[in-house]
Amino acid sequence: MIRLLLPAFVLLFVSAAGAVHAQSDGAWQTMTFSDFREPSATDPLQTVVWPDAIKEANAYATQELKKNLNGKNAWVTALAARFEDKGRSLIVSTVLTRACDTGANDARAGVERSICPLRIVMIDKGKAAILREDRGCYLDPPDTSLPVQNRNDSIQARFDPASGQIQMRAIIGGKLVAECSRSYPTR
Amino acid sequence: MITHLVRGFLLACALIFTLPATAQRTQFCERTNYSAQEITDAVNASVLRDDLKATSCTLGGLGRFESGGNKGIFNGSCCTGIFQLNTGNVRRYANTDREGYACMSLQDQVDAWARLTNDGYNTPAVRRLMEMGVFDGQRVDAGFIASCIQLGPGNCQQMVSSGRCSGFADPNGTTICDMANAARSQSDPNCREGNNTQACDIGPGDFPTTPVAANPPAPSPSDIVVGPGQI
Repeated sequence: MIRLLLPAFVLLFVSAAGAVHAQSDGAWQTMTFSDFREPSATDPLQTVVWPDAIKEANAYATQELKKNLNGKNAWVTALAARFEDKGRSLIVSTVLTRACDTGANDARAGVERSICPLRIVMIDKGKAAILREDRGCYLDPPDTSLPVQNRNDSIQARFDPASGQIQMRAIIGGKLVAECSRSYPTR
Repeated sequence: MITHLVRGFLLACALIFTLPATAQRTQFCERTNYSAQEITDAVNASVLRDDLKATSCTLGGLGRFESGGNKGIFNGSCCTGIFQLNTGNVRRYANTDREGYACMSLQDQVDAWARLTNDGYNTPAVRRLMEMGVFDGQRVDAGFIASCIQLGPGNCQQMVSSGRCSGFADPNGTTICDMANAARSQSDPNCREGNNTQACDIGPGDFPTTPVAANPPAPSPSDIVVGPGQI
């Protein structure tokens, strides 16, 4: 288990962040999409969960792609969900980086999941720690240019208070994607 | 020659008629019709690894197979441009969206694809294929490696683990071996490979000399540090 202690004021950031809202009633919730191009000092996903991924993507964009970012971040996106458990907050997130397997590049292919870096961060008494690093599914939110059957595609998560596990699943084209149905312990 | 053209025509028809059923293809910016040789030339001018450039004729064929040479086409579900990069890869390797990517120059699109392919070269599936040299009766040449990366490292690993071309097929039944064959058949028959300006004398898509596995690894960074004032 990898632990990383982070500044005590991180809890304030978490409570201020509207993008990742808590839910712990065991129901599936669609993970919230975040776009990190606009730098933020208050978004816990940028400051606590994925600062290294953003830094690496910025370096790749400027050094390899020769892009001028003009003070913005490179185009890094993430999904996240937040749960409350016995006074602590848990954030589960997957991020689209070059470390992902994004599936087929092919004219005959349809919408596919990406399998990407996943982190579960616990925030307890103002301190943040990375509880787990793993792989999990990522999918962009659907848009109207996609086929009708893909317009409700989503990655979902829920927290089981009894077992302390976060469960994830993907629904693409109305079907569950087997390789995306996974459980991650948090205790 | 006629057989070659007929096969190319049939593959182009297959490309059109096997798109996801309800996907609405979208044309961004101008419609183009780059030839296999023009795509090959862009590949040769890109950052692609030199050992894959050695069979870049195959890669021109791959571009024709994927897009018909039309760099502005979005397939309606995932994939855009001359090599039909998926939206995630467009973001990661070009830092833009599908429309921005479709409107890039051919060379910029090919550069993004080359970076993706170079990264994919180090995945376990590709490494294993390179070690094998021949997979299910097919020679592992650069077209085969590019097709493996094109259909996704996870999908390619599934095929490698099965030991058969049929170990992975997309929803339309296209295998990585099918794609490699299609790329070869759509290459320019008079193609000029890599840095060589001579016409291919062993046929488009053929890997000319050594198996990919025989190529040496990339050089390690030097441990000799030369300061600006020491030059």
